[in-house]
Amino acid sequence: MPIERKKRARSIVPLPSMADIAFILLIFFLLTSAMDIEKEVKVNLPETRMRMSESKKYFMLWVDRDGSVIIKGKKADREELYRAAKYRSLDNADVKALLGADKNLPFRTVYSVMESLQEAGVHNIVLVSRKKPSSEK
Amino acid sequence: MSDIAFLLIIFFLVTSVFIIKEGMHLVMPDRDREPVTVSSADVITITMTADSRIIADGKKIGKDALAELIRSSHEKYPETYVLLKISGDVSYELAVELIDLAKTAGMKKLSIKTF
Repeated sequence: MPIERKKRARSIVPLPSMADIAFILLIFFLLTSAMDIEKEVKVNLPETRMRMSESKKYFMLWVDRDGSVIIKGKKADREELYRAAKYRSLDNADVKALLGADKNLPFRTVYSVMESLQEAGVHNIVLVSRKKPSSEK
Repeated sequence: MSDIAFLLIIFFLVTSVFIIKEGMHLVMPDRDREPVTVSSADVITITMTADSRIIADGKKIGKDALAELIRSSHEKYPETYVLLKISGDVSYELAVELIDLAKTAGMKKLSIKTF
């Protein structure tokens, strides 16, 4: 007598609800990425030809038009800047500081921020810039 | 429909993960370490004054001529150092332009100072 296999119920993926899940996820990622973009401070970046991309082990800081330093969306004074940088450099000695400064600032302001970073033990600094159009010399 | 939605999700995930910042890399020296001493013959001193004139070894010089100077001396003596003295009153844009110029001309041993 042949053994009869028990017929299993075919599993089905409920497609309409799948689309719902997908759209909910979509909205979630849209919102969270929009929040990330908001954190970027609008500064007029200088243009350079020499460029490298950075993707890991960095922290971002901005110097806006008024010369105030912004870390994680909040204005920071020199003391806070030093502490934030020190914290990062103790954690990882090779940490890079991405410095986005307004191009119309006097160099003195930017240089003093760089010196604070250096004092705090952050030696790798990336001056964030926009790409210089190659036609322009 | 769900295909489209998932494609969009993947698209947004990928684009948001790879927000890469680009810029010019500078390595600042360690303050605790002894400064390196170089003979003055190996150093090209370039000064950028507050009125954004560029002075190399005592003479006023244009940007193209400066790039040429750095390139030729770097080729002749790879041990050449460039000391950039940039006035604190110069705009950051011009300062970055000068550093960029020196770097694109092939100079790796840069020292930046402000006054």
